[in-house]
Amino acid sequence: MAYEVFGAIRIGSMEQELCIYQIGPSRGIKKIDRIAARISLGHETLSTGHLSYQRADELCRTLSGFCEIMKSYKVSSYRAYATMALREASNAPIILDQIKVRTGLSVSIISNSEQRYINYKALAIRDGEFNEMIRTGTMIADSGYGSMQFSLFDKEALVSTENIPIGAVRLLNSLRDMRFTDEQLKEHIIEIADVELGNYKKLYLKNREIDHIVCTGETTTKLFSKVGNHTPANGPLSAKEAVEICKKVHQMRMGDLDDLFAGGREYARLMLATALVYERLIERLGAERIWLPGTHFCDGVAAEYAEKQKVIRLKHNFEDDIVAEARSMAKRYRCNTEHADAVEKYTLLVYDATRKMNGLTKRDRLLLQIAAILHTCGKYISIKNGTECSYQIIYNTEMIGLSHDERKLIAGTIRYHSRGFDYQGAERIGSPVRMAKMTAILGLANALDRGHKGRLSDIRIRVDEAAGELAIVTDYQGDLTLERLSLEHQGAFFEELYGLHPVLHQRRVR
Amino acid sequence: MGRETGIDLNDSNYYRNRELSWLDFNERILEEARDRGNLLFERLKFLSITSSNLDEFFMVRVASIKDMIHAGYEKPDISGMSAEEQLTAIQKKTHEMVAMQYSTYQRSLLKDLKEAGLKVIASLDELNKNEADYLDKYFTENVYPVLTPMAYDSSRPFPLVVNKTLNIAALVRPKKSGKHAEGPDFAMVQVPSVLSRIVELPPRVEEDGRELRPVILLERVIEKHIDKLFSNYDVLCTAPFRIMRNADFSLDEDEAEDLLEEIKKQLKKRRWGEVIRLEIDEKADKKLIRILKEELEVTNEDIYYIGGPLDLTFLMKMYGLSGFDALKDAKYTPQPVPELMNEDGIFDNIRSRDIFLHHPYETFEPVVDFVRTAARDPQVLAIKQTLYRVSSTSPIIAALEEAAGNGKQVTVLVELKARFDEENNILWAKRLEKAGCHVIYGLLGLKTHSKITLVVRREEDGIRRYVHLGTGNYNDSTAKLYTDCGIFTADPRIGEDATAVFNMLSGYSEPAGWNELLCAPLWLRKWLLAKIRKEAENAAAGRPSGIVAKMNALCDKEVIAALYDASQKGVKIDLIIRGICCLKTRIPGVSDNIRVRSIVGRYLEHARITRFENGGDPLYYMGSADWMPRNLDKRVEIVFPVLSEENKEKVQHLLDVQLADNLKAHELTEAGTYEKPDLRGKRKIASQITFMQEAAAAAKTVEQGRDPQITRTFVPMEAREPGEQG
Repeated sequence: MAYEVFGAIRIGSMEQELCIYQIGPSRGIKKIDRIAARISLGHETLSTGHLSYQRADELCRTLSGFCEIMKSYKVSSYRAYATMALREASNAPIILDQIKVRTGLSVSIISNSEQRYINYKALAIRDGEFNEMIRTGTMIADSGYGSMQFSLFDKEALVSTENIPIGAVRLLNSLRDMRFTDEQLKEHIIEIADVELGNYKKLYLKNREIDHIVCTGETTTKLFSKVGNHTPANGPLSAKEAVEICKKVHQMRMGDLDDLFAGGREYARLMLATALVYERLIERLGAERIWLPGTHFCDGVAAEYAEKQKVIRLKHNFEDDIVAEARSMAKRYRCNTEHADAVEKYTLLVYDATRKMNGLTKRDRLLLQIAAILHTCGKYISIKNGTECSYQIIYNTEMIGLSHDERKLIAGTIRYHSRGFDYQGAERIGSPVRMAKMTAILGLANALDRGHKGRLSDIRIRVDEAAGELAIVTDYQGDLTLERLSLEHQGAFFEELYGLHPVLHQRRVR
Repeated sequence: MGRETGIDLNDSNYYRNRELSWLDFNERILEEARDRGNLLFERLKFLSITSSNLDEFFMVRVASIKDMIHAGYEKPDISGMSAEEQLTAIQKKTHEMVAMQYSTYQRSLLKDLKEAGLKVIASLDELNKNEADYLDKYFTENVYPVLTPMAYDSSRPFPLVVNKTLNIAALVRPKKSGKHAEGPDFAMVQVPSVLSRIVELPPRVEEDGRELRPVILLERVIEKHIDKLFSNYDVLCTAPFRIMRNADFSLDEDEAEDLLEEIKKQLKKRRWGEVIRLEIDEKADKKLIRILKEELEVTNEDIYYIGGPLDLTFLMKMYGLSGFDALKDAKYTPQPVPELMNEDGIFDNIRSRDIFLHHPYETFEPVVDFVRTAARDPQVLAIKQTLYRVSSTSPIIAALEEAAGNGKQVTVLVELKARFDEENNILWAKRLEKAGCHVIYGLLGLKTHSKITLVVRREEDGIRRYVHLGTGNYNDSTAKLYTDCGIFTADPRIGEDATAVFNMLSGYSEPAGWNELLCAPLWLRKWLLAKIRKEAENAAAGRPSGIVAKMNALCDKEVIAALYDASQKGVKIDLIIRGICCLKTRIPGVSDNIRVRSIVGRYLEHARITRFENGGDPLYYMGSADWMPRNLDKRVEIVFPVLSEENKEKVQHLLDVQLADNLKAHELTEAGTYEKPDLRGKRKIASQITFMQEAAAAAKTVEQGRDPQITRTFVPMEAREPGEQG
């Protein structure tokens, strides 16, 4: 049969779901079933820091049910992801093991940035609408239970993305111990949301116009469909309509909300908090249209799987987004663009020249590129300790589309590219072998622009196996002493790893 | 909803009490038993049904009302009656009804039966010597060994009288007790249910040369020989009696939540095992009656003096006696479904179009075939079904077992709480579990009443779902007796919804939204009210409007008020309601535009269909739900749309014929009575007969279309690939 049946499981903070997809080249991705259960994991994690046995037991039972359903569809592959509730639980490894033993499911915990990235994939399956939307200033406001992710797009490219800790569960949890009336609760939520939104606006929206807000996330879709009878099929809403729907929610009594969402009091409060945050968001950003695409995390999981299996091709290039994100971050930290551009170019040239022998992947090439773009960002904080600061910044700044491990890898590569490689330190950061290989390439590239002058803009790089050298050829006729010295210095580590001696040849021009 | 007219639609005067309305329904059946237009043995059947209906009514409804009285529950019903008032009215009406049942039996049926050659011997005096000898022998050999006589005196407690059983009470006095004898003692014996109630005697030849088949009831045979049971006593008198207790059943689910609360609080006051009815032969000795009354603690109103044999359900057995075929309706064979009369498999047929089924005019076999084929089809991944009442030898159960054996994922929702069927249900549910099916035993606090089957099939171009939705249970026996509708469809919108239904029934969250199905208890009521309101709006705006609804019972106040409101705004409403109807028709200014009719025929009307005019683009829905609070609030019910034009026409025709029925339909009058329409100058139409004829004709047309003798054409076979098996 010309299609595959795929299962995507999301272990969310409030809801756990299994979606079954049919994935094939002729019809793309088609969702054929969605099963959801509601176990309130997030609340427990946020208030106690871990998940109790009872919750884990409940979760395992639900997941066993999911397994049965997957079996009934003869699902051939699946991906199971856990988000905040497990990510922030101290006993997560134990819970994952319990799940594995009891249900046979391998569950991965994903970072916030990976989760958001998958959410964008879900959006991007809807090529036409998505690409149309991001032509002008657009914000994707992806609401989760713990936080919201604001990503700005303009002229079809990602401009910035930031995680704001105003997820509904987190907000409610921070106010949990106080005895508030419903009215007071609303006021406090609005206050917190306003503070966070104000900060965000100051930092990222100075001279930007936001035309559209794309609202994603399970609660959002449910909120607008239940209260406003608005389904994704209805197309975008005007900002006024959207605000009215949000207002309607907080004018309702808790009991009525409870009836409406049929999920108990806690769920009703969650919806209330979500509505309040959205209302503030829409009003403060002054967007004209609000689009509720109704996409789900699981759709993104399926898209990612299908893309990896080469069953579908998404029009939107996500790697471009990651690069764009890195560039806008470099700009924020006022990196020396000329130098960064030169290093980026040399890095990619070295990678490409050594492609057959370096044992790195295409993905690593992207990571190297990001590392090159950002390698001096720490200078913004301290010129003297620039590299270490760069390491810290990258280590702590989430980037959509990159996993934590990938980010650490980039951070480590930058950390060691200009001082000696520290195997033990690298071991602690993770992926030491890849890091070493990448460090050698970045170090070499950086050495080639030691003077920060872009003198070698015309270089060609090739491997000369017979001579056992990496030949770097330039037509530049001026003085390259600084570069040669620096190359001498960095070349040793490169040679140690690749067995190639980097040699700079100045071609005589007649 | 009060309008400028000052009419308050919540006024209890606008509503009829549901118990009394139910008794009206039983009266309509009784009327069929009295109708000489029906064949004699069919009339026996109708009378038997009134009797078993009344039994159920007592056990469930009267018991509930008595509970209310004991609990001091004071909230009036929809019609403003207190529990006590209801009980008084019910007792009055049932006493009249019982009198009517027996006058029908004694004065009309017995005479006609004798005329037809079947003599029911009522009194022992009517036996001739030959017959008496035959009975003596029959008694000694067959009856005596299974009898357990029980006596009651100062040393023995009053014997336990089993609910619903037929018993013979007797007054006995020890022999040789002489002058110092104390008062007579009470004794009784249960008429064994293992033996046939009707004992057939050797045929008799009358003086005029006619042959008669005499029969006598088992209790008479026992009475005749009662002295053999109490050999040391003199039997002074005997009388058959029968009681009904409220012990076996928990509260009827129809009752309001607050009543349950009330009763929980006052648990001690609830008298378990309380006798709520005593039926006894009207000729019974006064003293015997007094003892029973005291020991069973019944009031005068609870005693029914019966002028004839107790428990008329034996008439159903009498119907089953061999012979007399001319006095029974000709046997009708459910017809094949035209859309399925071809060489294609059931899935191919369903894929090509939605198929409408109308039972029992059309056979239920395709539904069984659907599950059976799915069980064997290698492409089928899963079968999911709700089962409510299933026959004990159900081929569906067998097919589901087979499916599980073939590695399909089989999910069955078994409703254990189906009234009177619990034991049977547990039995086959266990069987299914053993076979490897995933059995879900209903939902907490909700009865699953919906009838839905989902087959998931992995096909060349993707996963496809096939769904059967029906108005009747998956019971191949009742499908021959109940009129029900069903639809087969491969419509993906309904397929998705069906999947969501089973996900919900398995305990997972509700879907984000529904495409086409309407489900109780969460969505159906709102939807229904909105639809009625929409019709009212359309009428008010001068757009075409109208509602035609067919169901078994209508007693939800909110829905009735909405119908009144629609009527006030000019919506023409035609209701075809078999049983309870708490709505009153033709109240000026309230329900002028509402007509109610009830059809009682050889088949039990069971389908639920609704048609909304919808501004000129009619919508048709069918489903499992009556418009009763229990269906809308406490059950899992599904209402589904009829989507294809072809099937809409069929449903419209069905409604048209039922609305034109003038032989078996009764109309509800302003006075609250049900009357048959005036037939003068009209073509007589009995909808059930029309449907039988139409189904036969439709099947025949297809049959003939394939018969070369008639079509005079031959159909060449398609070319076969080499190697393909013939």
